Amino acid sequence: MNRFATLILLGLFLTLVFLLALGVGTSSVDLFAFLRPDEIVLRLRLPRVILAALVGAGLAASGVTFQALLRNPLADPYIVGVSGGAALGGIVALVLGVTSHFILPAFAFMGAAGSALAIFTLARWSGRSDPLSLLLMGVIFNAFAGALVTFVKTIVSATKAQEILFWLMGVIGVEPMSTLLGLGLYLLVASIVLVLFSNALNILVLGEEKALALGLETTSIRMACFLAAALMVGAVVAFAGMVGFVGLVVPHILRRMFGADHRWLLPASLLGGAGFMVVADALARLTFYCFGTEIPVGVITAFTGGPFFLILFCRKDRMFAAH
Amino acid sequence: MISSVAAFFISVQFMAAPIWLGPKPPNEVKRIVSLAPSMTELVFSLHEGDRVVGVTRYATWPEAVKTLPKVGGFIDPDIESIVRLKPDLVLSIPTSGGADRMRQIGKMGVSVLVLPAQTLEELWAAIDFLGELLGRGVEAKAMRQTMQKELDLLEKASSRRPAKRTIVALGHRPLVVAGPGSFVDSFLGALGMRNVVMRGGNFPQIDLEALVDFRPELIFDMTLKSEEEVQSFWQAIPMMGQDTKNNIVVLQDDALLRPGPRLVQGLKSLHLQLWGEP
Repeated sequence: MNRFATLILLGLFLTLVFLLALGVGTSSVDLFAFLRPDEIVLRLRLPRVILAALVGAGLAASGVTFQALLRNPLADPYIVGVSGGAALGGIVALVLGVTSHFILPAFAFMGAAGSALAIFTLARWSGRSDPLSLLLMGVIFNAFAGALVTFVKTIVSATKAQEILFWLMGVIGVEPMSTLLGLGLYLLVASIVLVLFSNALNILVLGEEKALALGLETTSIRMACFLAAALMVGAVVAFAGMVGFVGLVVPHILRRMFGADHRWLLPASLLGGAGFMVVADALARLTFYCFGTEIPVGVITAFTGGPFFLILFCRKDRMFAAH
Repeated sequence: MISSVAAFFISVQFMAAPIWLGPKPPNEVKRIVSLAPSMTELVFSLHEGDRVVGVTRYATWPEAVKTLPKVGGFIDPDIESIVRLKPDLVLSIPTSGGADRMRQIGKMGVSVLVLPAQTLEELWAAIDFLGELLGRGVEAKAMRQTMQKELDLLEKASSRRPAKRTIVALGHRPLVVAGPGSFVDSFLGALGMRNVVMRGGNFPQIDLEALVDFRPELIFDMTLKSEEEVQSFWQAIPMMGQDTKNNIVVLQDDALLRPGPRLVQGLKSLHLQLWGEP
């Protein structure tokens, strides 16, 4: 099957799960509710499903980008430290009492971009921009950000600490349409940048020397892609907290289907990520029937992503060969 | 099936007994480190506040606690700062710091009392126990009886009208509410409220659809956020009736969040504010 047809199928898959997810709610389940939507479906579920789709798209596309930039199949925004930076930015905002839905993402973006830049410049400055060093630096940065987050959690009131804890676990809530529009806009800008540079990403994957030899402005292109991916992560973390592993699982499944060509992989990851997250969030809503309380969606993505990461790690020779 | 099993375990609540760790306490306890704000408040209202030498960073009442040395929080009380204060009694609740840490303090030669007070029944027993321990048995009994009597009066007054279907919110994003096993749940009746959340443990997390589906008549917001912030959160929720949106009760101080001596007084003033009669 050619790649175009696969992409269309992926789009159909997203549409299907999107419509079915509208039927899954904490007050009733009727998979065909989209055929006769009532007010609950339109005003309470639709915004939530849209948010899930946007979050998934952003996480998967930024995952693909980080994997290309760091030339490492295990790079995920959660793993390379950018989510940690975004969370830190968001928590600083929460502590300062910022609750505005327009300013909070800005803080998270600054955190994400700050951490991306810090990792990037440190790597260049120390002359260690090889994938392994970048990944290691990300891990260390994440641990550092995690410690700062814990520090902040310790000094604020118990209720605020609780709030931060829940947010860090990853949550998809109901946001007003204006917020969704804002998030969509952030993601659109970043996606355009990434799709425009998708061919350059293909060359960057070959390695620094080859890219330079082919006449690619590696530094500025890397920087642009890094910032665009950081923008995605910042916007997503601001609304959904730390949802892990989406940026790892989705790109890998898609690489099997589309190969390593980023001109296909990026649009595919936007669609596939959205679909994955819509399903995960619908599952999160279903847990309410079992437990009378909702399991954070970050826990569900981790349940699938954790084992997936380990399998990938054990088969890493084959995966590296794919690049 | 799973849910009914879970509900069984959550709904069965034993009345826990006080536990002693470490050496026997001296006949007269002189230096107390209190690891729970509710316990601190109890000691102070038994007029033995000057025996308290250390508290957690969450202690807010009475004024005097603000200048006392802080020894950490609920989950992270610091053993070294506790031991350094040379207490002859560490007063804790079952959730403070974890059993291992409490045993460790006991091994350092300090008596540790783990005094459960997570239900009303346990609170009454804790007041009596603490009173005996501090040589204030008579006062403690009087205090406990007054609290019980006033609570009864409130419950009787409330039972004259149908209880309002209530959601108790403890966090907004995500929405965390008081479940059937929480302390808050046990005194809602005295406020003329009935918790509509019947399962999900102490603090279930629910989404807006579930919230609307519960059809609450009243929202009791215990997030301790500003009135403005609380109102703007609830008013923005789609599909919740205007009647409910006009019935947002915003808790202003932490008295009701703590199973301590200020509880009944706090309930009384809130009852007055809600129903305009004692």
